[in-house]
Amino acid sequence: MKALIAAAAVLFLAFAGASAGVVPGGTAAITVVLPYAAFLTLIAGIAWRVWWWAASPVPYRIPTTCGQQRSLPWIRTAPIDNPDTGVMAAIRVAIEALMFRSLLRNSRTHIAAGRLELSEARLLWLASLALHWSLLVILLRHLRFALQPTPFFVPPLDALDGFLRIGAPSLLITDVLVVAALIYLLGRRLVNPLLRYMSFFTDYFALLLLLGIALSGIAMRYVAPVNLVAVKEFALALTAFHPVVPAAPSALLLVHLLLVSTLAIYLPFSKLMHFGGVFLSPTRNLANNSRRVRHINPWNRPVPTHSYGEWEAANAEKLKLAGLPLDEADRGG
Amino acid sequence: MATPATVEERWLAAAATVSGGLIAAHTLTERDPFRNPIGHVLRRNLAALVREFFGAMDEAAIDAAFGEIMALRSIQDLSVERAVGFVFRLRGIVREEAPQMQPAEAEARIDRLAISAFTQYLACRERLADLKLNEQLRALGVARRRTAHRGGAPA
Amino acid sequence: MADRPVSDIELKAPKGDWRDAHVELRKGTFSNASLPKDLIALGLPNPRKWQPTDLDWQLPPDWKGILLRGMRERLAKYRSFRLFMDVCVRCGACADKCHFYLGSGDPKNMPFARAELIRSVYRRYFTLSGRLFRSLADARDLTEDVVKEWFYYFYQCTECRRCSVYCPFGIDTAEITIIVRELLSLIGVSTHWVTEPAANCYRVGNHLGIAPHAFKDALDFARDELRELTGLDIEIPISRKGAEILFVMPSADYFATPHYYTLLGYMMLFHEIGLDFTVSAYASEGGNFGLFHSNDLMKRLNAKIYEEAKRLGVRWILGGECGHMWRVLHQYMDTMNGPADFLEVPVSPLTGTRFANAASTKMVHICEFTADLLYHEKIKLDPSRNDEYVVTYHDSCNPSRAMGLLEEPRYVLKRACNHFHEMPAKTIREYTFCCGSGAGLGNDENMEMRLRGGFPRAQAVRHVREAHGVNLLACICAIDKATLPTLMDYWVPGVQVAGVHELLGNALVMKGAKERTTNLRGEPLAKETANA
Repeated sequence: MKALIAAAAVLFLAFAGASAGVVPGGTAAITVVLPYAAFLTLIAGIAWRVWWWAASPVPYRIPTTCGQQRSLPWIRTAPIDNPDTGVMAAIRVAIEALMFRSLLRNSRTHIAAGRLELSEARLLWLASLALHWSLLVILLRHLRFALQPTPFFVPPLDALDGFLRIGAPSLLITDVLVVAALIYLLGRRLVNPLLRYMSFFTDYFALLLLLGIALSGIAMRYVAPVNLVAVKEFALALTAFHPVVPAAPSALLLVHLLLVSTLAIYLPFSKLMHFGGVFLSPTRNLANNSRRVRHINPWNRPVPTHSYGEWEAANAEKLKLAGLPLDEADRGG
Repeated sequence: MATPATVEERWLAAAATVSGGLIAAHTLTERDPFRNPIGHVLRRNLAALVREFFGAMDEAAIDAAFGEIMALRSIQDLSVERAVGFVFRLRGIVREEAPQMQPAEAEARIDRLAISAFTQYLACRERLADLKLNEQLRALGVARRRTAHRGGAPA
Repeated sequence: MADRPVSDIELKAPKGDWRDAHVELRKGTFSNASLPKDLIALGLPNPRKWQPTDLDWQLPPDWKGILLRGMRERLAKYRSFRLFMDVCVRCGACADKCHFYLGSGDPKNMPFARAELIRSVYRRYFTLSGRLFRSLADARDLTEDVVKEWFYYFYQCTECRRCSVYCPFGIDTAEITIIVRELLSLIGVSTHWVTEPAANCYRVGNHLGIAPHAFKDALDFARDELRELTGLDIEIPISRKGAEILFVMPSADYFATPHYYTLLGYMMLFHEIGLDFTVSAYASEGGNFGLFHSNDLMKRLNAKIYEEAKRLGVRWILGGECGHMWRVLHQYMDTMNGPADFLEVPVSPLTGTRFANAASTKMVHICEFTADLLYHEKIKLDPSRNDEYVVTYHDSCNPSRAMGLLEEPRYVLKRACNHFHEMPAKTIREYTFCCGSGAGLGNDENMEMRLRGGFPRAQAVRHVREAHGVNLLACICAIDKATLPTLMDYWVPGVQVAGVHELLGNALVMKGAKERTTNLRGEPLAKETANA
């Protein structure tokens, strides 16, 4: 049900984009106004969210330790999974961010008789990694449109991406990966009953939105090719702050633009901000050295305690009975 | 002939869905014993029971298998009917999957299984009371040891 | 495998909508409510007589406002809380990592589902999308049913942190549980098994409320038993000023079995190496049930340790075998009640090893201390005295996932015993399964829930019992020692539970001691039985 509502929302957006060309001012709204608004929201939204998290105090040093601590010099430690210094903690975060280390732990102890099972658990790691890395490559590839001259790293990236040389224009691996990963991530939410139980509108919406973006982009390359020169002129004008409303943009381009803009606006306020967790989580980005270096709690406050004096006064008789030493006696009381 | 295996699979499904549909999916599909301990225990012991059902009906083996299954089911918030009832699901499964077996013989065997299941279920419930008592005794273990040691009340 | 698809197998989603907060509290699956006397003793809000099965929980009139203000305050005070409310993507990697989920099948025990119980309320009151779109944003109103649901499920989490190992964003359910329990305590919703030990510890000094003279009596008894066992007079000094080291242990070590045999082990060791130490009658509890209630209460109970160390004028502190005690000592004590600038950086008086890893907190774990002694060959062991045991080691949650104390206890065990086997790799070390009774759940009335939670651990023990004939589960946690025997009796009969230092005590060769014929439990040694 939630998946259907999310699908309807994305389809509605796509339809709105496709039909914008016929509405007066529609093209201008989607090609000029919306991209600027979306970009602004994206930047401001992310900045606000990251500030909101980062500005909060970290009262306690609570890393989740996933290996041997550093204690005695002759015991081998796990310096990354149980970092002892800030540098090692940073490496831990970097591996988490680049390789999704923790998801990789999600493997099975059981291997089906004789054959290695590519288990669902490993697939989740693989699909997530494929999705995120492909999105990064695709984003970088798009710089070809937005920057003049084209950044030096884009052509080789393009070449690498299309090295399979299937079809013309040649098939880009990242396009395939993104779509496959998204379909897999969507599918497991629908098929796995436990995930279905706990999947929300936002889970489906984010995946479907990305899928819509990917498919409309791919269609512009393989199905109904757009005039790349015109697109580049349009994009360059946009990035140079001299926006020009394209004369007769393809409906696909409008759909693509609208969906991307929606994503940019939606992202800061949604679970897609999860990357913040990788970098800011106190269970990951702190060194496990709380006995060696005192961690300061900025709001540490006094609490009522039961002091030794109060305790001794309350238990004086029993202490004397047991022949245990009293401070009172020391003081000659 | 794949009969015992089929019976086993279907019975397992029956046993797993009985517990309210809650654990059905994960229980049946995940084979890692440490990611699906409930499914693992069910699978292993139902297999043993099916073996006995089509075989010697060894009482000790049946009791042991139900002992493990009922240890689980007796602490899962299940009514007695639900905890033990899945045994009778075997009737329909056997009728469809093993028509060669005499109905009377099948009935008799299922009855014997059901009695064992019920006995083991009750035994597990009774063990819970012992567990609590023993835990409390251990919690005062030093005082009890002292009493025993000094042959009288603790000083 | 079946030749054709099996018709009965359906991939069913759990019944109902997770947003339905109603829970049915059945006997055996929850803990009893706090008694008014304990809340009064600790000065905590809303003391009253009630039980979770009551229809009316007698919450204060403004309970909703108190909870929401409490959430706002904690969102401002904890980055962990702020972040963990926002960043989950519900990828499900944590789902089958929780021992309570694995043992119960209840989908709300999947860690990400458990967290959603409060996240949905967070979205409703603290985010724009939740306020605007409500159910489309999966936001829930805060109702009394939600409060009851929180009570049920957040007292069904043992704060073991296993899910946090697998989470790509390091979301730690323990942290969420700690905060929800804090919130619930603001309206007087807490459990007896947490607040009574805490109140006893606060006023009297230890969880059971053992008064100083009874404390001394228990230690005197240990001295008697040690004399019989070894022929040596092993004194246990109490509150002795000027000692070099303050030794702090969980109180169960001197009132419960099998903990007590670990106490005997420590004392034999300290005698053999001539350690200049003292225990304290005031800080006679290392455990800290405040951790299972609120950070403030944790701090209040923990304050005693430094205060006593200062009063007695010791140089540093040594801590016994206990799981959650070490979470507090390692990750919280110095921050909460430090700096311990009146103490010195711990140095082993025998080996001269300087424990630089404890340079600020000045508190060393007994396993670190003993491993160092063994490494420098300062003590002699006869592991054959443990030959009756085939041993495996249960990593306690807190020392493994909130500290990383993995090798030290193994180093001691492997020297004290001849027969040692590890459980499967994904069930030990940082992947260890909880006993299912931690975080204040280890009470009588909650037995069925505990047996569910401990089931995955028991399955792993069962595995090594079948493979290697393991008959002893060693551990370094007082809650483990109290509850694993019950777990083993139910799931894997024939496996006993012991502390690492009990086995060390068995094996320890002592100068001037008489020939050992029994182990610390008073049972004849294996070789004696063989000779007989």
